[in-house]
Amino acid sequence: MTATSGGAAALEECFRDEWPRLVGAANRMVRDLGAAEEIVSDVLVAALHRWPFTGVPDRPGAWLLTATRNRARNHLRDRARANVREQLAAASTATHDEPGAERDDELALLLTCCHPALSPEAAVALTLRLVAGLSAREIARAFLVPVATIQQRIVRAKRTIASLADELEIEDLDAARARRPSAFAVIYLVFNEGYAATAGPALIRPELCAEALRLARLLTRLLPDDGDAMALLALLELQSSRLAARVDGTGDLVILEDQDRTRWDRSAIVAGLAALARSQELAPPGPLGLQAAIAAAHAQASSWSATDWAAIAGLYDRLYTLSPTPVVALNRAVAVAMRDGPEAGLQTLEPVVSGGQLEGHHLLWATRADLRRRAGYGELAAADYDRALQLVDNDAERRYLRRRLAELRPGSVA
Amino acid sequence: MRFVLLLSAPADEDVSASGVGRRAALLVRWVADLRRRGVLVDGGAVEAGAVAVRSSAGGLTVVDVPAEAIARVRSWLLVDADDAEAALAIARDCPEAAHAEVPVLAVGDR
Repeated sequence: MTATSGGAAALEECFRDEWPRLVGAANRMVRDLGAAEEIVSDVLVAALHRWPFTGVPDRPGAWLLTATRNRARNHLRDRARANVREQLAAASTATHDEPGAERDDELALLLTCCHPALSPEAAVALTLRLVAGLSAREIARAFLVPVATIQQRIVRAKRTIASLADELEIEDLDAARARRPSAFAVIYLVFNEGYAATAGPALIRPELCAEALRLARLLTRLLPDDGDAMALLALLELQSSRLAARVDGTGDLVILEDQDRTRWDRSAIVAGLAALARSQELAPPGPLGLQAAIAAAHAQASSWSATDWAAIAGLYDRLYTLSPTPVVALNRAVAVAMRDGPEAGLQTLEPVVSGGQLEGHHLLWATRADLRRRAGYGELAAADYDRALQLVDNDAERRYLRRRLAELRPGSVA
Repeated sequence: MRFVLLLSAPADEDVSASGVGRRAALLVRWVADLRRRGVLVDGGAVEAGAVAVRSSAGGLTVVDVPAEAIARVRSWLLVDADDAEAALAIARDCPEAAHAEVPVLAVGDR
């Protein structure tokens, strides 16, 4: 790589891409996430001050990896001066360059950061910091929380991981692989927060969706034969294809029915469909594969009315069998309504309402409001929109619900 | 005249991959531009682990220099500039100046 402007522009991408491999390699050697992070940061800063003068190496990743291993060895040597056990560790890592080891290191790092012993918030913060290479400030900005909050989450998460050191030390990679669902959940959580922000002024945060996609692509590179990992990537690609069309020029929500489908990202749809096909070759669809298939059905429909609702409702039936959660039941009711009419949808939704698990979630009431509106129960629908408005935290969604309510009760909402 | 510019670690340095990556991209581009314009004479990174020597009573003592004592300098540039104002203009355009002070030292005529 030369020091041209094009090469320079690629540097940030290079550092981001190499980061998890470097942290994984350092962590494997020093067995300390905090120290591994520091080592890699030092290496990147060294490259920052060296490469402008020496030129960017032809294989920057190899340069960074060698520098990381050298610094990790120095770190071990410093620690080993007072500790014989560490000397043995230092000696054993000297031969650590077998084929595939770097990929295993990255995977081990990702699975450690998504360890189920961590709270979802802590796992998200640690993953975005140590795997995605974002700063605490960037993570805080994305999640609309103070930087100190993110820093605390990261510190606590590292402490939890450190307390699991003995367990992780003896765990082989196959055992760690069993924790893949936690990694899927963390990545999905990051994407969802970008796709439909829980709070704040903006409905979407594309930067979070991009980070989730980056992590999902990393996961499929690390687990190339894993059908669920491929299905997750398919789902995120397909969902992200609609991101730009979900808001209008003023940032207001545009629901799927009203979206301008020419604004959908065709390249993301193509990538998503390819990943979905690959996932289906690898394994029968699980919950992620079925969700991706539903997203694919929407992506391939030329319009709302041309959507294959029978296929989508059928996929939701299968999804509900595998994953009988209230949220799946809610979405299934919408699909049933589109296939069989709003009354059938309301009937399907009834157990979700009476189950009470989503009582505090605005989406339940917004969904029932929509079905009641379509069925012609204007006043009942308005009451549900009222209830949803009391629960919603996102400004764009609030404006959407107010618009809907105003259509039913003109002049009732400011 | 020739001047030395010193690039130092910012006090509250963002050492994330994204942060360092962005800075590296800008610095590589800026140094390449100085080189293309014929302004850059030389430059390089400062190696870690500085030592100092002191002679006393006919002997020579070598001591480690604490990192703080070398003012967190990470790299240096030797540039050609018509005068101090021109050298300061170069320093002002340095992307690292957004993160830390960039001292400019006059080191004599060409």
